[in-house]
Amino acid sequence: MRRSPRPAPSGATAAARRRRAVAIALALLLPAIARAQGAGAPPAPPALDPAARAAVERIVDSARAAGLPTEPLELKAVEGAAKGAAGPRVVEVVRALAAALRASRAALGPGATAAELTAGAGAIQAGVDPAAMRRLQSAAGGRPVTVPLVVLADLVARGVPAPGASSVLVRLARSGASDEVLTRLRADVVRDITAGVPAATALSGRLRADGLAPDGAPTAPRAPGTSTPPR
Amino acid sequence: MPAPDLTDAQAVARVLDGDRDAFRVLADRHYARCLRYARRALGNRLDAEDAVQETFLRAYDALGRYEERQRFTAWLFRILVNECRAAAARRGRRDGPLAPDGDAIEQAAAPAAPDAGWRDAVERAVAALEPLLREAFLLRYVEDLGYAEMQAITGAGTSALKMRVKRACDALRARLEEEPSNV
Amino acid sequence: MSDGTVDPVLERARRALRQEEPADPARVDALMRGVRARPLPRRAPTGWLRRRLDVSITPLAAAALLLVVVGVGGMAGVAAHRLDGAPRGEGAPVAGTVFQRTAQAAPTAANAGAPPSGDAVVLVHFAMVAPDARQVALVGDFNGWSPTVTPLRRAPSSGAWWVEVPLRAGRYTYAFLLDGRLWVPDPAAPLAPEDGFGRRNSVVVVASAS
Repeated sequence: MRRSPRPAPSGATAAARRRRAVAIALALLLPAIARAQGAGAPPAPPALDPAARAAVERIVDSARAAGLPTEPLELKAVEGAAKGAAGPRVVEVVRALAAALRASRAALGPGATAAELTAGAGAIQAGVDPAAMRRLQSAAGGRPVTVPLVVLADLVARGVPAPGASSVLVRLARSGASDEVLTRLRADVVRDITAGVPAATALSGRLRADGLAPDGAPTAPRAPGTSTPPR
Repeated sequence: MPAPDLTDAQAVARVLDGDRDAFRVLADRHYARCLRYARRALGNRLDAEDAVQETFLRAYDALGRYEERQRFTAWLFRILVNECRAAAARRGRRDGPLAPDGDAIEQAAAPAAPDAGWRDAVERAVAALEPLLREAFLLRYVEDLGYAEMQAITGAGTSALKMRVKRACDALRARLEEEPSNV
Repeated sequence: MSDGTVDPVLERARRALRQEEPADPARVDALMRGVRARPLPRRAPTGWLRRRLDVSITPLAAAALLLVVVGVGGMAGVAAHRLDGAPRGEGAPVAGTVFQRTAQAAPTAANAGAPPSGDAVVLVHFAMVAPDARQVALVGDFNGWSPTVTPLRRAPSSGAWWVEVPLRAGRYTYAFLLDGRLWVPDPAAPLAPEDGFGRRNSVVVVASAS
């Protein structure tokens, strides 16, 4: 058992107290929800008006019937309530997410995990073309595409043009680039953008600096100490 | 009848909720692919069918342990690969080394497809591989699994797996390059 | 081919091998008869609440290698802290670095005495520089967007706040809430799509190697 000398509470009892407190709080806030898959229904949005809550439940039910993951939708409603959004707005946002999940599943296929589907929905909402997502999945050769999709969505959200970013990630995936490599690349590109490099050229600029061609293929051998290329 | 476009994880959840028929979604979706692997791992269709049946039944029993973060295919293949290994070991004790004669007879009787000669040559070349090389080759090049997944499925380290795949490719290439039907 | 070379002979062989044998429907029927005759498989205890809020951590299996993509906020020079309060040493992971936690990950105060559940969990470190804030909370998918259950701790004599949260594999969106009113994304983490409510979230992905 690892002891913590910090003044803040820690340890198994604190964790258990926290768990109980949250469970009680949620139970008090939670009306009976008619349907739930398996043990433990997700909490209803605590501050949503009844009409909005009912509308969200309808969206969740039809997503469930379509075989889509429902937890992201429920969590989005909870998030909206936590941020004090008005009922109609929450419903609109949940509906948009359901549509994005549907499009994500159409692109990634029924074998995709919930994490991949949610990451795909995020990418679609950020402006990534579903056809590019399909190419990315195919290039990844069976590896999960959660991280590549998250990285792609992030780059596009920061202003890197979507077609270019997509094709770079597809090439990197095909060459076997690990999640680590993609994560590091993303952090480097974002640092460059923050430092003033235009987003439109930040990705290709970073690839060149790392000794890669604009499409992600290795070019020259790297000097020792610089970042490693994709596998 | 559950909707056929349930995700794997959704189908698993439905089964665990009490809808046994939802398991059919998984069986329909993955049976052919499992059979494809087992047929080459074991060398004949009859043994392969038994291994795949056994695999799905074990998967059904173990469904509560499937976690959504894993790809269902990879999770299922761990059961399948181990079942095939066990079946091969049982048969080895019973019959001796891999004997694809049953299928050879079957193929001789079937009408010849345009590239039947090439496909037969490929099947023979794969059957001639050492079991571990064959296993690694099939998982990587036919089933498109990643090395991380293969590590979880076979228990072997990534570098060992890469070595096996490379040796399998070398052996296959050498054998198939001389093949007359390799036009 | 995925290993980088395109050998025409092997590629041709692969195409031939990838043709699937159609399943015999009678066989699948027989399988389903077997399935219907068996007891229902039992679910491992992972209801929604428990999955999100269960803070019990188990010792990781020897073969399990967990990769974590961490959004660690802050500028260079932030002293990141471990759960026991000791500052991280030199070479401490910087913003956006991937951690590899091996099977030897130490049990922490949070999991002391908890029974092993068989589910692998990783401790994820979140940090934020906010010298003027009086309180900072981590709010996101993994705690039901509650602004109160995951407060960050302030590192002594610096403007850095931090917390470590046990997470199972998955993709989570989150943000920091400063003084109960200001929502801030994690500056060094990937952005989630716009949240639809006028603010921006961050994404953390916890991946497993299996």
